Amino acid sequence: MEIKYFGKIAEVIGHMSEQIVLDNLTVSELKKELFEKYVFLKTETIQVAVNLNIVEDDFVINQNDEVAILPPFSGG
Amino acid sequence: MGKKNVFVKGPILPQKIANSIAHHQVKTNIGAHDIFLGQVRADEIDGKKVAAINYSCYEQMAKEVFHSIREAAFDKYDLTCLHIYHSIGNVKAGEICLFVFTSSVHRKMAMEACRYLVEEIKLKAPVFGKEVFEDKSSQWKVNT
Repeated sequence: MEIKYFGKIAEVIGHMSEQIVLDNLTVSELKKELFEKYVFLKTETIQVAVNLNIVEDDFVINQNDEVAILPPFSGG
Repeated sequence: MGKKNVFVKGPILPQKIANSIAHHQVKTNIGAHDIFLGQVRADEIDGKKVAAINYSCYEQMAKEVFHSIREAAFDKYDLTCLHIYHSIGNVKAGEICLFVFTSSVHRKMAMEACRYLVEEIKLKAPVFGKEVFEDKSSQWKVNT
């Protein structure tokens, strides 16, 4: 699946997106994977969007979904 | 219905705001407009002054979010029309980064809708602002 990063998260990770081979897992399982890969994320406030919608921890993500890890919004 | 593009590269110029007002003078059923303008503030943080905010966004999602905010406002309030523009990229302190423009037959609807839209945008639009200080260092902004 493609994972997109934005704002501060993209800046710290060093790229805007990456392909990760994972399928049929919950948002909280994905977060666990990402926290291992990017330790700083554990202490960041993040929201997860799947196919352009904000989802909760129990949402199930599939291989073809577009996933985004979003820092706090600061528009306006 | 097509999803309108709300993003403007760089600051929203006062001329654009004036032109928007002028464009509505042919719509003579309108009795009231309300306008909200967000301006970049030169906050001082740890002795350093904010010189600009650099805005980025999750564009595909932002398009959907702005569209649903618009639709919700039209459902909730009796509006003749509404317009939203948000800056993307660099906006200096003192320049305008958000322009919300509501029009209605009477003032109450225009004013309430304008307030609603601004709060919804702040809460739901996936837009990210990086405060750039005069010495070029930076920090990511969080809406309060």
